[in-house]
Amino acid sequence: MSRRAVPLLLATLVVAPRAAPAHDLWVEPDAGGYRVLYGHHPQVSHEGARQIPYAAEVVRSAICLDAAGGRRAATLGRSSPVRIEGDCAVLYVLTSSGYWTKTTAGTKNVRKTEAASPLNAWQSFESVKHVAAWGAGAANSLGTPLEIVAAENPLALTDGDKLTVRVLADGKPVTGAVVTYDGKARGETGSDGAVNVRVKHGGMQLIQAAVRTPHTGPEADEVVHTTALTFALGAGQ
Amino acid sequence: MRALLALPAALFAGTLHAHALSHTTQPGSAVIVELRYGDGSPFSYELAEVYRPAESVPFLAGRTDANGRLAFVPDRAGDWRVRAFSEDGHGGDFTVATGGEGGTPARSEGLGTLGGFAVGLSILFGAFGLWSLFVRKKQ
Repeated sequence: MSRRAVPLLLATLVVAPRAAPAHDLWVEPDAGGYRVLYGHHPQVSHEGARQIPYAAEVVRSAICLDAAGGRRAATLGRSSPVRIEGDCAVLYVLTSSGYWTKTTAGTKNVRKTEAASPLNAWQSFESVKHVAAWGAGAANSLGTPLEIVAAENPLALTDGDKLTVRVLADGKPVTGAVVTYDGKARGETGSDGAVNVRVKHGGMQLIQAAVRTPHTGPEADEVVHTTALTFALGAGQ
Repeated sequence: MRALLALPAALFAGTLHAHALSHTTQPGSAVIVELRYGDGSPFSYELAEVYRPAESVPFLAGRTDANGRLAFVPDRAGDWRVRAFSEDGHGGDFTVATGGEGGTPARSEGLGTLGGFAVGLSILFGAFGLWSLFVRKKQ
């Protein structure tokens, strides 16, 4: 520590660079199935899509439904990016990268109880529901930890149309969840879990919501679950 | 004998110098870069690197502070590359244009270890000289 006070430290330029973007989880149709991708979704990132490598183990489960809501078999691949074999009208994928702890030496992929100098910690879940065909399978809740359900057929929308979506946790409405479209906040859910989103372009659509809830146990302070609803319009279908 | 006594003292002094760290404080201009997550919270305590224009070896490598800021003092004009990244995949990679003027702050008159030592010796010798004069006058 200096014995003399520092006379002056001038900032010649204060730069607020592009905020570090949140990451997106989405699925991309592949021959006879889908690929689970993670990173910067092309609709969100101005710099284009960027995939972030992930361990195949983070993909915890997948639900594959036909248009009527009947369960279909879905096989999870064992390499990254994970490929899911199956003919799904609705595909729901749940991933978790586990516990994350912010420390004075950066963010570590460990429980708070395992970290040196922990500041705050969270358990991370991410999920995505892709709707390829409309029907009871897409219209009803899957009863998953967090999901976005479209109130009407989103595949019939055109540019400028409004879509009502509901954010549900274990089938129950989530109040106060911020819903984004292409990464931009579009509204907060009411007590019925609903919010309106206006579709602004054709092709792949990305609607997301994130929910933070307290974590029970010393491993983390909260559970952070981000979920997405994706579907394609126009030629993208 | 004197030489024998002086040798360990010299070695000890050398050890002190090897471990001591001189420092100066100086007014000047710095570039402060503030990084935030998408939700506005600070990108704190994460790894950050700053590169001089067209160089591949980092000019600065460290971490952002508790407020998600990092500061550097450019010593030349141009586009400085700033990288910041975290283990969970967040990060940014961008350039900051800096001007040449004021890039190198003027040094203040702060004293390093050797300077302080010299001043201390001067004071001691000065005090001894004054004391000698006082004693001689009394005699």
